Amino acid sequence: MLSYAVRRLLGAIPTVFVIITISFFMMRLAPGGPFNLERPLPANILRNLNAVYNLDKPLLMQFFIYLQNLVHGNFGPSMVYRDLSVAEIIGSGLPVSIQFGGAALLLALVVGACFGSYAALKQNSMSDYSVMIVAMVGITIPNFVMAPLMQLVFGVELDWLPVGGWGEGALANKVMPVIALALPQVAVVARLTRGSLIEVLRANHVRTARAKGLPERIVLWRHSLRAALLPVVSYLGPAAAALLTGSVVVETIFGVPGVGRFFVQGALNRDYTLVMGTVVLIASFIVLFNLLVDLAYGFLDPKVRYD
Amino acid sequence: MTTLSRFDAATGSEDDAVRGRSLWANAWRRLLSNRAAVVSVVLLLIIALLSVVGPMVSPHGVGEIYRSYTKVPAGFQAYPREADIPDMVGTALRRSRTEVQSLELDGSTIILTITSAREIDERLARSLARSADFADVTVVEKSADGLAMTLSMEVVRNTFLFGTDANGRDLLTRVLFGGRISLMIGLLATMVSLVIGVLYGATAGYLGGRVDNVMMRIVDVLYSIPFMFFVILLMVFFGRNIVLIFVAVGAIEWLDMARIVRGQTLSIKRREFIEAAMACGVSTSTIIRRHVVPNALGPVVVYMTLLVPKVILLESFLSFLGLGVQEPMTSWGVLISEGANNIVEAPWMLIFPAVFLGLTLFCLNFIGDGLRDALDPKDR
Amino acid sequence: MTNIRKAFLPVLGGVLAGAMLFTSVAQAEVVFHRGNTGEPETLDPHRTSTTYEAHILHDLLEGLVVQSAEGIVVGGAADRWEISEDGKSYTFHIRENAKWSNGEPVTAGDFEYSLRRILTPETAAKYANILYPIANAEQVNTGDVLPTELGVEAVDDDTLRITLNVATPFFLELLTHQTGLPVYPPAVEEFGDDFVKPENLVTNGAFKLEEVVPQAQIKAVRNEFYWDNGNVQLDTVYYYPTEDRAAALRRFQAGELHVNNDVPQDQVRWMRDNLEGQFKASPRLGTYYYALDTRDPAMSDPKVRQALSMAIDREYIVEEITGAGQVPAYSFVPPGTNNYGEPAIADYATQSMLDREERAIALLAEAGFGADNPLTIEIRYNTSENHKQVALAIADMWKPLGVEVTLLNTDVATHYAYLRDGGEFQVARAGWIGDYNDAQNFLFMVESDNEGFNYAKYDNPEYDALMDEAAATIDLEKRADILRQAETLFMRDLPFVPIYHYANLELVSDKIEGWEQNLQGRHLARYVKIKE
Repeated sequence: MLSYAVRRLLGAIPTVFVIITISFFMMRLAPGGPFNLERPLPANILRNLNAVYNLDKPLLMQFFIYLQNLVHGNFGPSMVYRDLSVAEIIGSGLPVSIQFGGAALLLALVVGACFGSYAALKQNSMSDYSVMIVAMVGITIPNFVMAPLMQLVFGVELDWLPVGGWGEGALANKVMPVIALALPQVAVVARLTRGSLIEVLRANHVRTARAKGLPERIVLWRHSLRAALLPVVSYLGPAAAALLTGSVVVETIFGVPGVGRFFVQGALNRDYTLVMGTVVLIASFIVLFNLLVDLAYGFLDPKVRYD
Repeated sequence: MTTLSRFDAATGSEDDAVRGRSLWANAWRRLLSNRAAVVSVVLLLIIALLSVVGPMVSPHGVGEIYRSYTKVPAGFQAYPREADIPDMVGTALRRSRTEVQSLELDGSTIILTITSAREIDERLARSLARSADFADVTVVEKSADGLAMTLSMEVVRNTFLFGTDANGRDLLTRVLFGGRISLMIGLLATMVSLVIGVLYGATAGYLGGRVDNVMMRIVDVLYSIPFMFFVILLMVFFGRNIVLIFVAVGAIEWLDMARIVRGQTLSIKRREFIEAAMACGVSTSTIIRRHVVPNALGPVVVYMTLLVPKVILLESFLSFLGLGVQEPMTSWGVLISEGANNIVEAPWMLIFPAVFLGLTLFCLNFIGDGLRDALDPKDR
Repeated sequence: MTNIRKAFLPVLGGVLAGAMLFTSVAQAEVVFHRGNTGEPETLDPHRTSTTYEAHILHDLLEGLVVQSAEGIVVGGAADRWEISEDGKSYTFHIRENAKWSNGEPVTAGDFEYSLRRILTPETAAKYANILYPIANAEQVNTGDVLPTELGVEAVDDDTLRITLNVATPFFLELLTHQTGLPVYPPAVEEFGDDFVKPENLVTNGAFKLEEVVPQAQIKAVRNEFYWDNGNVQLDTVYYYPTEDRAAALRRFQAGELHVNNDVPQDQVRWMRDNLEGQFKASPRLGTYYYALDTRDPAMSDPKVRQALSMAIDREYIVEEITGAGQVPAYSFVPPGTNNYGEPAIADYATQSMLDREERAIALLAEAGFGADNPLTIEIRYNTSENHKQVALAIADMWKPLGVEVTLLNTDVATHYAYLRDGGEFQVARAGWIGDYNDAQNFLFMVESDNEGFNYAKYDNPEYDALMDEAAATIDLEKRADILRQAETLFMRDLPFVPIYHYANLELVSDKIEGWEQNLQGRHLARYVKIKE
């Protein structure tokens, strides 16, 4: 297993390289540049800016300069947020995003798995339907609707929690963003868990276990839930990578200083260095989490082998 | 009965067809006996039908603008309300330099007398007729000096069951119309993720080793490249085209499915019946189609029902970038994101498209569950 | 179990933190919470380009002259100045008690250093061109001459002389722009680009920078050394990048923000009805317009452009679509602009829509368009705010002329890159907010050599000649006349069709005093007071 993980991590290098190359040229082919603003810049000034950020060099050369800097761990300066380097932006925002995304992920996994198992055990009963209806509502109502509603209800009307803002990182400011991030994921996890648990519960080894008179709790924990979580884990690989690298909607609405907002702003502003920093970061997360997921398969189903 | 015995029949190729048909026939029969699924299918068909037919029979065009009725709330109220008529006449006469002397309302007929310090222009009648709120405007009487005029006209009454949007367009028509695009996108995403995602995932998982590694790294690459630039480039190179929405959605929406199916396959391929099939010399593609995929269907079906809302909302992002549906056409995703901006001032703009999307998802959910139960190879 | 505890902990913590929030209000410290549109790109006054950076920078740094709460030019770091007869030479006297936040005196040399720095090509200042009226400024900025050749000279520690290329009646106005703000030379020399970090930034304004949390908040605190510190009531100012206007409104409702300098466009009616006068709208120095591509076969005909402009019911747009206090635009220069008087208003401004439509149809017919040969138009716009609603309404207004309209939207970068790079179009949305309060700052956009701004590719030698003549005219009234002649040409030829003049839309709590409405929507925190 260890050698498998090492091989995969080595394999990540060419993968990330391919991603960087494709992204770099895609980004540069798109119209607009970091200095194309609503207020146009005079030609003189544009020339100065392009010179400072090497944008006046041939594209291929710019690519090699970027790669060279990257190898030395230098993501370059942000072209739009000119006081900050890309590394500083990621360094200040990523811990926040990981914190929020991580909490939301955990919440989603625990609550979702509980709801899902409960519904599966009571399949086709009233409680099953109500849990699943709640889950469907969670899926149907997107973040950009749920977050404002939560702000209106808990912030403005009831005045229980601050509507938004960072508040020096106070816990009260984190409650709503985390829940808003978690809700859609709770729903997905619940649906996936329910679906696969129902199947697993019908499988032979579970029937055997039940027939042996083992208590339902043990049947569930020891024989069923692990296998049932397999599709959930498959789903969570990319989903976790997305959650931990920030959500622009939730961050913008609640004023959370994560990286998600910078990433989308970066793409909209054509902040080339920031976009590339984003790409490298997201690619690393994707590669890493998909590796973790593959390793988790072995834990969830001992029959899965690595080759 | 053991899993093995249930599947060994399929290995004999001569009776494949017979067994195949009965497998699907069985599934069909079981689906029909699932009441929630049947009701959902019917409801979904009704929604689809409404989307196709509704905009055609609606008295309001999908892009038709009622300038006097921006953000009118939902309800059975016919507009204009009687109390609003004097104001409306006032607005229509704005800058005509005339004054309303008297205004009588009889049913839907207005008798209007106006005066002015200057001679009144006959074209005024046309100006009133143009406002779309009045019809059959006729000059009943004009005083000899031309300083006073009596007009008769019909009030055109409109009902907006779902209210109107910020431009004064009927929301009912727009919600129904939006269903066309959104349902189509949902359907497409389902097909793509079913065909590409499932086969890709199953193949990678089943073949394993280096093939799996390469196939999954391709998926990683697709996950990581910035989608926004992909969309913008599509537009730059191919212009604006409704087909491109499907390309953009199709390009990424099978990835999750591929990973889920691969995960299931890794586990399925170690089971006894697969090993048995391999031992019997069944070809790889047959094993994948006949044995791996059917056993992975549970999560596939569930994930499919989750995918549909995702792509319907994704389409509104494409519209933001200019690739999605173009005004005056619309989609549920676009309507919902517009509605979200109007949550306080015009909640109906959010509620109705959201309800339609929600209903669709409920239906899909029950159909999905029904399908899963019907297709479950362990349950026959 | 631990997982469940984790899930509920935040709720418990929320209650506790909420309680703490209330106690902090009771302290004597006066804290001002200001919603500020977006995340500043930089706090380096020489690299800045946005109004929300300006809002922060004007609190931190003070130029030679500043705007009063009402928007009038008054003394800043300089308390008096003389202007030479020919209007080309300005002598500023630095205020005796002007100090940096480390207690050092502000000197004329600091300004000399700052003005040279912003014009140095390597600084790559986006707004360097604002200072081009200064002698040699453009040459310095293009790298043709050394920064020491710039027409700025520190005669002694207290006296700064600025020489201009030509008399520029709005020069003092220009200096109130954030590009005229000074930097503390020793800090720049020592820390380089990092001089803007809170621990390094030395300020000479009413506040100093305490903390920057990107995308969350910027905190500034009282500068004890500020010369007018005695009249500053606020101890702390927080600036929040309130990109989501609707969320900012909710924070305002909950009392978390004292002001926000923008509002959700979709909730104007609601705010009017529910915020009891805390929603403020006032005229703004800016124009929302449609550029018409004069290279397009149909659009090249001025008759077509006139017809399209006439048929736009601007009153309907500002009442029903934007509805927040915008003013229908029948001229490109907004009313109330300095040194100008009455703008050159189109003659159809006062005509009834019916007459206008008839005229428009006749004009289109003359240009060869009618029922048998309908004009088809594509409107390009960037996806944000209410551009779509405006485009839809205008399309509807052009329908009676027999014009068939399609809409094309793209993200903002694509939109402006396309226009800037000379992409062909027919009608494109754009907007302009004046950098300084002068008609020239609007009319210069369609000069034929104005690469980048002149989306319409308007090329009229007569217009260019008038603009050149105005630039060389010192007498303000004569100059205004010439500019008005230019605008008359503008409104005849309509490279841009003005639609409405922007409004400053703000949420201002009724606890706030000293927040006066002004054309540029500029509000210095030193003037703001919070009532208890």
